[in-house]
Amino acid sequence: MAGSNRLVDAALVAACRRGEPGAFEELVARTQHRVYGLAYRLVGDRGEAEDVAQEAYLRVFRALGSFREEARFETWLHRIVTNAAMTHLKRRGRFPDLVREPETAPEPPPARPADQTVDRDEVRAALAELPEGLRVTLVLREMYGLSCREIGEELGISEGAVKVRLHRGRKRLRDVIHGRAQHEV
Amino acid sequence: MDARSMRCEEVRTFLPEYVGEDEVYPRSIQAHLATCTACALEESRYAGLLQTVRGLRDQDELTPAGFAERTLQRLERELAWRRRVRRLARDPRARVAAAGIGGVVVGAAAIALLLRRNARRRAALRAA
Repeated sequence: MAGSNRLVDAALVAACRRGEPGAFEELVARTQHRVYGLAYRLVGDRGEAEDVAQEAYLRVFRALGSFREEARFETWLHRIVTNAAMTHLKRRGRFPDLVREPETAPEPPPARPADQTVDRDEVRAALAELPEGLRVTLVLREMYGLSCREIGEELGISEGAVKVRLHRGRKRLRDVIHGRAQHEV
Repeated sequence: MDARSMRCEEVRTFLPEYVGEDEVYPRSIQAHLATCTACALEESRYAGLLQTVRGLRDQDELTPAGFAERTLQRLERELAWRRRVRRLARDPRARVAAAGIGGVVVGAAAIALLLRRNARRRAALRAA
């Protein structure tokens, strides 16, 4: 399935580069949920995510000529969306949050029973509660599989700083969802 | 690190660093996890949580209604703007106008510089 997706993406990109009518429309129609989804997960707001996703498509259109066909289109697309999201967050004045974590963590919610499972909606809501810097790092690592080095390049921070954020982000996410108190020994 | 000397609190500070990564736990933590049910449960809770986070990727976020149309309209506006600029750049009258405006700007800047220099000279003479 992923392989056939990749072939369709490659064919569409080639058609766009040849300037075939309707090809870019088709590309947007095919990738819009992926692009919007990543934008939303990075900026955490639906209205802003639309702006970011649209900006990403403008960048894709401008850069299609420089896309190397041996590269994977999806990876290239994700990088463009991530860059657009970072530009957006910096412009919105939320950059300090991307490079510096708040000193104090909020009080965790009450503990939940140990055997209770976590559903996706809960995790989605908990992710949205995380500070930008932690959420962006977690999303890029856990959901999109970027390496710590790649994330560092995207965010303009060191690999070590990415690891620290991953550590804090996972812990904060767990605290938000499960509470912290119940497992103290 | 000695497994016997490690307390649950210490082990748990390391869990978010290793869980979900390729790196293996240090032996002392492995040994602790093998004997401490509470910490092993905590580790599996982290692993389950990250598994759920990864699963979110497969769940596409539905785009707002009309998203694709608005995106293409925005692209069309940008393309129209670019076409206008390109057309303007090719138009000989626009080139002459641009050269004229450029000349006026350079001339005005030169006059302003001359006036400033003269004013400074006069001020220096007065001071002397």
